[in-house]
Amino acid sequence: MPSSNRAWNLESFLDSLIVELDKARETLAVKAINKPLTYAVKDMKLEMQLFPSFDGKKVKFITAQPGQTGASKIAFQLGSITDQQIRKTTKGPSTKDDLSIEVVEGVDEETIDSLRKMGVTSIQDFEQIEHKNIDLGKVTKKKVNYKKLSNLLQKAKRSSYPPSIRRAGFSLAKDNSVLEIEGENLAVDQTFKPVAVFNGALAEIDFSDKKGMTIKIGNDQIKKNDNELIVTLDPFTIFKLKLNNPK
Amino acid sequence: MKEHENIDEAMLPFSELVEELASIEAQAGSKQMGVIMEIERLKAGLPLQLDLLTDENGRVVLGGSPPLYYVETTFLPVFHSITYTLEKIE
Repeated sequence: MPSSNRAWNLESFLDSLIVELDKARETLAVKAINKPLTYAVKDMKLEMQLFPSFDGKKVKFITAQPGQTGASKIAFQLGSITDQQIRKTTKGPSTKDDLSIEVVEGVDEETIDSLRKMGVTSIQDFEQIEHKNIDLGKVTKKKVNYKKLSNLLQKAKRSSYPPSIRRAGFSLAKDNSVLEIEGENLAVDQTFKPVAVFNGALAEIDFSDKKGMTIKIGNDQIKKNDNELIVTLDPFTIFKLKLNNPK
Repeated sequence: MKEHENIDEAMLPFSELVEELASIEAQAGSKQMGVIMEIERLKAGLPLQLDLLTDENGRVVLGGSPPLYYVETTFLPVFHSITYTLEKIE
């Protein structure tokens, strides 16, 4: 049951306050349709008597109760801003390719907390910081293996768009034949050159992109049935195919 | 509003309190007089009693009201304060 004696954090309080102000704004906007002279709240300052507490990780607050003295006074000044200012000062909404760090398996609470304090809450945020060559280990002064973290995040991101193969077939020629593969989300990592192994021998990849690849294969390597192809698309994605050759 | 059912019944959900604060009759004069004046902007401040509840998941529910009683008692309620500016919706 909700209680007035339970500590709350600033984020929950502001979430609640903003939802309440939004509701009021919507009601007043509807009222303005019928009643020409209606007023909207332009800005608001809330001064509250609170007791802050710190548990070593987060600052929380308890609202002062009747008879309690020595409470801290904390003021929240809320002003209305334009949509243009919102665009300038906030991150864009998460895209469908993005993932929240909280849902990535293997990332511990402490790491999530230290990243959140730097405004890094999604894989996209993390990648932006990596692209700018910022050493997160030095910035946070935390013993976190960011290389391992980076790999975990990339792995999680890659698993959200797995490779799929629509068609695979041999194109036989006199000298060298080629194996053509078509599909989706194949070679998506531009920094990694895929590696192919055909019937246990390394095969040369002639061309690869996210929709397909062409692999050069010697005619003598192709068996009539049960040809095996293993392709490493990137450090986190391997696929294996069994192919028959209808000569 | 279900989330506000545990708010002190003498108080309002915070959104309704804001709606009430913004509900002002702000015209002076009359058509007969030939002059009608309207308030363009209004700044106000008042002491505020808050009922701030936190559930098991840390979610906050906000209720509030202007001071309910002015009689001095052994334990006075805690008075927070709210200052706001209202502007006419054009």
